[in-house]
Amino acid sequence: MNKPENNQIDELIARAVRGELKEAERRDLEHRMQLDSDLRDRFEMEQSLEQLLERLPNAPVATNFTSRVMQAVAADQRSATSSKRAWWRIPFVRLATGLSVVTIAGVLSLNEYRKSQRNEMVRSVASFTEIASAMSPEDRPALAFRDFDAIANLSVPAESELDLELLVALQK
Amino acid sequence: MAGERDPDAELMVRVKQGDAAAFELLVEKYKQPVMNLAYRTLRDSNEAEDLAQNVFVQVFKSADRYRVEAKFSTWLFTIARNLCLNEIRRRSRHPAQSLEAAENPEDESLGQQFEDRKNTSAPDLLLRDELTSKVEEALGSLPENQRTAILLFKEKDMSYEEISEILDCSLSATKSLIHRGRETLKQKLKPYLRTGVWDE
Repeated sequence: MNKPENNQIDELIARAVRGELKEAERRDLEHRMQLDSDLRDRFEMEQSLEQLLERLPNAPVATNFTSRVMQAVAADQRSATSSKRAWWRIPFVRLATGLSVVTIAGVLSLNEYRKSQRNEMVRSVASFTEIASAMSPEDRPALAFRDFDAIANLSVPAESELDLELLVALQK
Repeated sequence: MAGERDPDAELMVRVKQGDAAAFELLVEKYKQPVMNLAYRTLRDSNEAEDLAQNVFVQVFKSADRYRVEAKFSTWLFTIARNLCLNEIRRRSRHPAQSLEAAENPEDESLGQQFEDRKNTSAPDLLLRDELTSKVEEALGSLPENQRTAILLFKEKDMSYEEISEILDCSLSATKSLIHRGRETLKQKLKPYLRTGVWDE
């Protein structure tokens, strides 16, 4: 018997032991086995092996196997959901904390800046007043305004009679 | 497969939509064949049960990746086989962790599970247990791919094509694996193989 024919017979026997042969194929195999005792031996060995394999007992499965699987699936889903939440929560908390710190620092800095500006303004006015009061009325306008940068930058007219009069009035 | 509707695929569609009841039906239907494959690969009932449980958890987690046109059992046993292979690899890297299993190659619990449908006498049971041990031993001695091919072939509705897909090899290679595996089994079990008659 050549190899392809042998393979064909093997497959026929394999299908026969699985009960998959059609009636015509089964008759054909029976006929061949009547003529060939070796073929019958092969078939019987295969059938016997198949029976041994079929009689192998099932592996033990716990009675609560399905419920354990369902519990494991539920636990897996819960952990997947909570890890997703945690993933969302951690950056959110970090972002919120970061924004709060920046906002508080900004507000404090702004307050500090405004406070220092006010103090500067008060100091300027105080020093101007002091200088102005120490001068003779004739020299006041020129000297007073010459060193007062803020007023000079604002281009306030140096010889403004009205302003001088106001300052003198305030001094009194 | 064209035109045929795999009822398990229908259930998987429902599982994809989050239907736990459909998933439970699949677990009920396939827990035994998956356990059989896991047990005969790992030869330890506790590890096999953990692995089988993991197989179903993987099925649920990967439900989105399941293609409806694929047969469910093929997909399921592909996952089962991959997890078995991972476990075999893990064991080979950490052999000490498998010592307990190695000390008890014939798991005692298997004997307790043996179904006694007929009224069989005690000596018959002993003989049958011995025969079972011999068959288990012979199966265990086969290379993994031959053993898996034979065990899948034992599942009556599993075709050569499906087995070749699960084993990720050609159809002819699959047939050859089954043939060689069976030849080895016949050699090892020769004293226990009796000649019989054609019975249906």
